[in-house]
Amino acid sequence: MTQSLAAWPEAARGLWESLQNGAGVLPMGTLLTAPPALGPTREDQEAWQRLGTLIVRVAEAQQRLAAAWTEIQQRAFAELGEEVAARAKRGEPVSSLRSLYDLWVDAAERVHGQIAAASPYVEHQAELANATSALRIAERELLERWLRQYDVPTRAELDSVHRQLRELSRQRRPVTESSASRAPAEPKPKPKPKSTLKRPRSVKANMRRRKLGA
Amino acid sequence: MSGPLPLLDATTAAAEIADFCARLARAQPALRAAIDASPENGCSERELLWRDGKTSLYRYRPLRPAVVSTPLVIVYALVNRPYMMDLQADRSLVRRLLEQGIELYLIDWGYPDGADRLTELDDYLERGIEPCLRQVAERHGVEAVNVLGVCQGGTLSLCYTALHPERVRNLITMVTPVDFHTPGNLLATWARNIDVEALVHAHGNVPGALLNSVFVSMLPFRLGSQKYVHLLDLLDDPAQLATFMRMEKWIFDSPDQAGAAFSQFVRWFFQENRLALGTLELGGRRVDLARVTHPVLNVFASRDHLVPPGASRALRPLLGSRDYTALEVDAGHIGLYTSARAQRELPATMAAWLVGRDPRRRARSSSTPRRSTKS
Repeated sequence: MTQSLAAWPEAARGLWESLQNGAGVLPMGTLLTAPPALGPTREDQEAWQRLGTLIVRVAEAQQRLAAAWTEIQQRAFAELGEEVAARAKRGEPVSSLRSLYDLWVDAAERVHGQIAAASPYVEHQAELANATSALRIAERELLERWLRQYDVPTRAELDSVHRQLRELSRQRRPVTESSASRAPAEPKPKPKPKSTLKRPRSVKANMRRRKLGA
Repeated sequence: MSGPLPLLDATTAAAEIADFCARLARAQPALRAAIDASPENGCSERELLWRDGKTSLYRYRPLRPAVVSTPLVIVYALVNRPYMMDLQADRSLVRRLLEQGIELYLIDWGYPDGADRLTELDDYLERGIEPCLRQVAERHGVEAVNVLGVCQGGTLSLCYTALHPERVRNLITMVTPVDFHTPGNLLATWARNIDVEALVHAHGNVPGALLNSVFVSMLPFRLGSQKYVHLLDLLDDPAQLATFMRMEKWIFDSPDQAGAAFSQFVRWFFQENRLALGTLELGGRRVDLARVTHPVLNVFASRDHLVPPGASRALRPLLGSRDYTALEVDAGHIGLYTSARAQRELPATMAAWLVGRDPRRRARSSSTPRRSTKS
């Protein structure tokens, strides 16, 4: 455990340096071409490498989506310009900043509606959501790994307890429901009818009979 | 853009900016004064009848004698709080229905927490809707009750009715998505490529704040900016300001979504469109809308950006009902609950529709043939 803990600051420092060197654009190569994980701490190394890869994936998805947003803004301003010019030509110039702003909102929503419903944007947005989910999962895995070393309960453990409780509750429910629904309809137990069969003789009685030569 | 700004007079623009800044300075105290103490309880008097876990059943105090013998139970959506239906006295669908003489109940799903992350859609039906409807029916001595399903609550109500047709007498669906793959459904388009299993694994319960950011990003300029700029025009109208603040609270007061149920809803409804395709199964039973042979009133909004009208209109051919009425209202998703026109027309229409299908009335006029609106 001591060894695995010792590896963490090193890995974190490497990640931090890569982030600093990137100056805004992450050096994907540094992280992806990291040496293969070896030795007693290989599991930890791999977890950190996975985290680094996912940070890059999120950053790339953000960049692609940001580019789409730049396009939305540019096209919105272009449409705003055309609208303002058209109004001036019609003799209905824009008379206030507020109406100019409202026209910009209309144009921006129109452009956004077109771009955001189309294929590249939809995929970029989904990729950002999926990459962020994967990053969050990887972060939690690392955190839980660390918490387990200190015997601190984790979300995974709690989920397991919830799952067991749910199973128990589901197993109990049909029994409770069926017994509850049966209760009022169930007839009162009738008194047992007297048996017409002869009771079997006891062992003692048999022995007595044998002694008597019956 | 060929020099449009010279069209604006610099002096006028400067005066406008000064006015804007002055309003901005006044906004903070005015908005603080407009904050309502607790709009989340609604404005109509109600009593708690039953609670199991986070699910509560409320009964609204009637405002006049009942005009129908069957009570109406509101099944609200999981994604928002139901007080939008009862926001304030002049914007309350609940109050208007009570004024019409409809006996009203509400199923409130509450705020799921970490212990609810494994709750499935089937649980909402069988451990939520089912006991609530049963209790209301027993209370009124009827076998089946009227149901008003709102938005996602309408989708759940349709599923429930298909699985338990004997429990429902008449069904009203309001801005209810049925076909999630109609053109122009931005939410469904965005959901299509989302790895919802990973999302739920990452978050457990899906945060309401995350859903809100998605809803706002559907109209980002209008909902993220313009709405607040226009708010400055309301500063001198305390009543409108108070309404705005209540709406604002409601919009962002979104419960987290139980992870398992959210995952099922996104995958089965948004991504795979199982309800419309007839391939949906809940709790091991197929949800067949052809089993919904009840009278159905389907209300939807023509300018709804969350549930496009086409998504609701698709219900008609899927139903087994011969008594189907569609009502398209010129409003947006939220305007359908709160706009003056909706307040005026919708409750009266719903009440008249229910009265026309009330067993008491039907018994009296059984000799008159029923008109089917389905053609």
